[in-house]
Amino acid sequence: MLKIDKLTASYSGITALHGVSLTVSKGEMVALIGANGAGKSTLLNCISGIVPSDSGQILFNGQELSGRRPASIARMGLLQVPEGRQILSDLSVYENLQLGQLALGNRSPTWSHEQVVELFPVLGARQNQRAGSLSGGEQQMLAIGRGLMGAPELLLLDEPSLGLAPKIVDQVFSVLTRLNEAGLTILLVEQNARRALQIASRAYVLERGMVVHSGPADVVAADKKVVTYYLGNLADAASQDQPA
Amino acid sequence: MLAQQLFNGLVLGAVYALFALGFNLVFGVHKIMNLAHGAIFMVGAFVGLYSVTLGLPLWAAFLIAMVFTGLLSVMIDFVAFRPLRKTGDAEFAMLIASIGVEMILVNLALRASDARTLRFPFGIVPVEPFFLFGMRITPLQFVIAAVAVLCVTLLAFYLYRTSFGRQVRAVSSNERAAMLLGVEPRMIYLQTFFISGLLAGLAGVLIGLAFNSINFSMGEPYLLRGFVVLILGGLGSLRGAVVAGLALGIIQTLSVAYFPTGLTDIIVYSLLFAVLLVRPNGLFGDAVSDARVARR
Ligand SMILES: Nc1ncnc2c1ncn2[C@@H]1O[C@H](COP(=O)(O)OP(=O)(O)OP(=O)(O)O)[C@@H](O)[C@H]1O
Ligand SMILES: [Mg+2]
Repeated sequence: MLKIDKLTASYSGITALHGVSLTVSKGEMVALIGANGAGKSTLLNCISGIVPSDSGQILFNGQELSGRRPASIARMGLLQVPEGRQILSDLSVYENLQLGQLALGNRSPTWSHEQVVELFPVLGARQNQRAGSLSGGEQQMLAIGRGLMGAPELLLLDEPSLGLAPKIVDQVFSVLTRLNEAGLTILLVEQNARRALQIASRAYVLERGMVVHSGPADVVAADKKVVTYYLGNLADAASQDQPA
Repeated sequence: MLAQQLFNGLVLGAVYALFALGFNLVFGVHKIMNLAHGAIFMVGAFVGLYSVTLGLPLWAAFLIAMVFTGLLSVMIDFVAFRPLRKTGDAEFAMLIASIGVEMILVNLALRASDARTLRFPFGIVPVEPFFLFGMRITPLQFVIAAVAVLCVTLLAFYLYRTSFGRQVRAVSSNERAAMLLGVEPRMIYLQTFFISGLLAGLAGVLIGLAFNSINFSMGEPYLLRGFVVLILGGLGSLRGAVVAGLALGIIQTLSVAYFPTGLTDIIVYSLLFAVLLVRPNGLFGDAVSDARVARR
């Protein structure tokens, strides 16, 4: 479904991606993990057309994406739930969801407003509220719900667990699992490597703009270096989160 | 007598509001301070006048002037702002670019008009006033009031009740997120600049008719007034632009009527500072633009 080949990208001369290759097949949930500044968001933004690539290829269902405008990529059903949710905070919750439908173009919806509200009841309860007044977890649900309204064929998620309480993280990850089981293809970017590797089927590890590891999620999770650098750190970080 | 002055002030204020609405729309949605707005207003007055001189009926002159200034405003965005936008953080550069555009337009008008003050032919609008609640109302005043109400209503409907308007507010709130949702920002700039220019041109023809005097430098005082309205109403606030525009019109008319001439500007700006002391962000400014805010 998505095939990225030797993609490079840079910010005013400073290279952020050095020839990244990656594939996502229909129905898969693929995790992309890596430390701060590894280039995860840059990769997603290249796919979405927000950051231009320098060389390499991005094929979505066989169609080349480089050079296309972000709006046209979104309308192909390639939707990104960006880092930090990026909800339209001054619009109402309802309006945010309605705007999600814009990406439909002339494709037919796969998720109705009612279905999204059923998945995230809080979005129904607060539909007339200013989206910016939602809590972090609620905003993340809104960002995902808004993506679903656009009938995604492939959903790109950038750190959906960022800044959320553990209980909310559980909730978000279980929704992602359910969505994937229902047939939605997902590319999940996470710093919370442990959790991401638990729910994904395959994984890539990105380091300083390069893929240094890839394979089935359980194999990646068992890799010594991955354990030391990503899972080990996270175990420490998680223990710091616990109340003393 | 006071009622009459208040009404006259409201009519003048309605034009200020139309002028400031366009100015504030572009600022509120795109954070672009377009200092060429006064020049666009002036061009509108000229185009309206030339159309009438060519023998077209007044309504057609209005239409032509508005479409012309709408397109002019879009063109200004293409030539002056769009290239700068690509470079990222360019708010200041755009401000300077807009001054450049202002100078070009004003100097072109200076050449074209030979620096003369031009007038509409006599009798283009009926001057016979009618009387309502003891107030003397000219047909032109009536038209101005009606047009202002119509424009504000249409603009509010467009922003809050249509899908286009929702996209405009989405871009205002977060342009990048809007792009990821499938909003095409180019289309939004096209719409906001067109509407902004159209409102400026409309205000230009109305003022040209009201004072029956059109010259290349007529935009300047209105740009200054536009600033006062912006600051008074709150940057980016469309409600603020309407209320402050009307208030400014009334204050100005009253001070002309009841105070010695020459005091008007002193009164206007003193009041502005007084308001800012109490409400530093203006009457409706909470640093959030109305163009974004959801209607409940
Ligand atoms: N807009 C930008 N301008 C310049 N450099 C940038 C920009 N965005 C990212 N970078 C740089 O590109 C590199 C990759 O950043 P990116 O945001 O893709 O990392 P990331 O893996 O998403 O990190 P994080 O986990 O912190 O979100 C970093 O070195 C970063 O400093
Ligand atoms: Mg990131």
